[in-house]
Amino acid sequence: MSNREQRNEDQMSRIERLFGDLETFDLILDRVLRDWGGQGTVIPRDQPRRLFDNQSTFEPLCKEIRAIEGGEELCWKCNLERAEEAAKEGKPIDYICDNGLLDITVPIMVRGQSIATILFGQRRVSDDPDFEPEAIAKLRRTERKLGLQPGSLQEYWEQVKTITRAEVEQAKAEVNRIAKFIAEIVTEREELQIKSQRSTELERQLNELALSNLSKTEPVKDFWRVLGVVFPKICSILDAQAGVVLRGHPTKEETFTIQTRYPSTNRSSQELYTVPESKWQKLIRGGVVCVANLEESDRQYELRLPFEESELVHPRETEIAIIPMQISSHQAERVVLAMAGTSPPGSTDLVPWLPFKQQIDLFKMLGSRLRAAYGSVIGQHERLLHEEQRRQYVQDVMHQLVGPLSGLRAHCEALLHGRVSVQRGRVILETLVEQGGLLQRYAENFGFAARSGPSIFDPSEWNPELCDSKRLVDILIKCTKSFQGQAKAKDLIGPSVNESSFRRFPPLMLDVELFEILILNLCDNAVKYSYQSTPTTIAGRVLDSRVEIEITNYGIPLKPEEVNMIFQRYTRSKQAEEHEPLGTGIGLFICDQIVKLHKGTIRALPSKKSQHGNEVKFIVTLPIAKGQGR
Amino acid sequence: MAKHTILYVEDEQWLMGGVVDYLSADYNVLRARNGDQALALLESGKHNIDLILLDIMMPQGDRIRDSRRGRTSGVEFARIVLQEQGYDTPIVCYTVVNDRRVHDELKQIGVKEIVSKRELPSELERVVKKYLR
Repeated sequence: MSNREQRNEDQMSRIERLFGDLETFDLILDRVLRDWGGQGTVIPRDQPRRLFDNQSTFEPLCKEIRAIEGGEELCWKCNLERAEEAAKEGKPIDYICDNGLLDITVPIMVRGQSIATILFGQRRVSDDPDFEPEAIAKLRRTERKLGLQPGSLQEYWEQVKTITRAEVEQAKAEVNRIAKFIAEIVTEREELQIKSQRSTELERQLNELALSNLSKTEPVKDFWRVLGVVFPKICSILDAQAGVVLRGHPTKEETFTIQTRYPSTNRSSQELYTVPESKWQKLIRGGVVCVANLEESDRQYELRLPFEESELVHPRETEIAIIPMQISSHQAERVVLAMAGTSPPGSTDLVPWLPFKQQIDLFKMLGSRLRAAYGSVIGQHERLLHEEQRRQYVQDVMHQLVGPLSGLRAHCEALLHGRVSVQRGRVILETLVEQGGLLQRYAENFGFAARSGPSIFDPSEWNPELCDSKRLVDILIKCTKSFQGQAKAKDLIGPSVNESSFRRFPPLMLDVELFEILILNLCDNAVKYSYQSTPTTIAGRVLDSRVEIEITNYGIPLKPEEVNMIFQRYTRSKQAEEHEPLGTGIGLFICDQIVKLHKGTIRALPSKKSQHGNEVKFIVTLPIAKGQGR
Repeated sequence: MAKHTILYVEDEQWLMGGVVDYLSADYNVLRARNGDQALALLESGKHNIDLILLDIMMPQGDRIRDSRRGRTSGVEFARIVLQEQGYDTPIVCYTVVNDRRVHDELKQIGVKEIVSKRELPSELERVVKKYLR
């Protein structure tokens, strides 16, 4: 194991740290020096005393001098002075060292500064008449400095191989090419390192911004604001000619918002476009950016994104590369980040895009971090939304209970203080019973709604019994009687049961308790939203393998777009909210759950005009009990 | 002495029945289910209305609409009656809404008093009496 392998990274010189793969570096230098036949080393400028072991080889003359006290120091002083001189010159130089041999130093120049010097040589020049006198003079001076007899090192000196001046120039040029190659690699790696550090900082900022926005009430909006600031920075770091954020929401007018940036053309850093869905595959026109690989498959806007290098878009005409990345799909939303880089005109492969291509991993990494940040933002958003729904629900529950309870107390006080006649008092007592039942139902509904999960009923709560048509009609009539008082107050006709329509009903498997809750909720709904003096009826219909129970009333209309959403938890139609601000939007949700437990379906029909006004119909479809078909 | 006339605006019919039963012994009580009906009664000039008893959360109508889908339609009604149309009929709110911002708004509009629905009709009558002397 070489000494180098034992070094800690913080002890390494800049060139060592940047090179990383030092074995390759060693091989290159070994090869160069071996081919040339000389001896050499590399002197890092920031740590000049760090010898590159494998290359630090010496002629017997040099070994002899270095073995004498003060000899090594003398050699080092000479080497460093010359390395510094070459660094300042910025080009290779040759010189006669203090040992009287020809040496060459080649600086490795990165951005105009030498980061290390390749030092090699230790040869005598055979075809230069000026060489020997100067070399011998230097050797004598060294002998004196080291306290040696003049001429005592002469024999070693004469054993050193010779080289011609032409060979010196050739070696200088060759090693200089190697130095430039090394410098290019170092430059590239340094730039990548800087970019990586910047992107890490960017990532940290993004996380911080995303996290600091989590406590706000509109985290998704905040995320897009943050992305608007951060994404141009990412593009700038990655040297992208254009950066694109595509944000599509098919339910919102089928448009896509695009943020672009064109640093190369100094166009404004962010532009917002609304692109019609029809232009989805040609997102930015005018030959600037063309996203050719985004394929639309049906209306789900499923994107096929070219993540692999081989799939990189390389349109011949536009000379632009795109690296799209889908970062989220919140509800129906589709988001794509894309980065574009230019290739030289006429290029047919990806090689000319090398610098741009090298950023792909970095871009993907940032994309995945953005995706993670977006994910946590969405999670927070949904939690806030849920929290708001619950808060609103609890408030509505309070309001919904306080109204009838206040009425109950008001009636009791009127009775207590003798403010009403005996006859009126009897009516009040009857309605007190009915209102008590209403409050009981509300309380039950609130209890069900407090349960969480997509299905609020546990299968263990399902206790069905076989109900024939007579039993069914009895249940329906019992339920409708609970609304007599309310109906009378609004001068409604009913709710009534069309008994004859149930006469041919086959037996049904019903959980009577839950079925009653279903009918009571539907009747409550009908009575609540009916117009004055209109009828509410319940009728039945037998189909092939199922039956339908229809609850029809005339009142505030139901729009086609609302017929499905009203069965969702906490959801009410717009008109219902205006008509009855106290509602909680849970009654129909519970109805839906009960019907599902009976393996049936419930649906509402969009209201239609009739002689009594807007006809509103809810239809419960239930399966006929097995073996009980028509 | 002729009875005073109170216009009671309330969509919760069951509660309205109880309050009307209580107050009817001493007052003429006119009923309105929402702001639109109440406004029509007021504007008809057929009744000499001495006081308006007003709920806050009521169905929206064609004329009385609020940005919170009925949750503050009583506020809008009071604003139209007192500020836009310039009536000086005292308004007392009888409501379940206990939001301080809504109360402040009502006071600013000129509503005399806000009584919680937690209070019984006897307490409501005590407040009403203050403004019917």
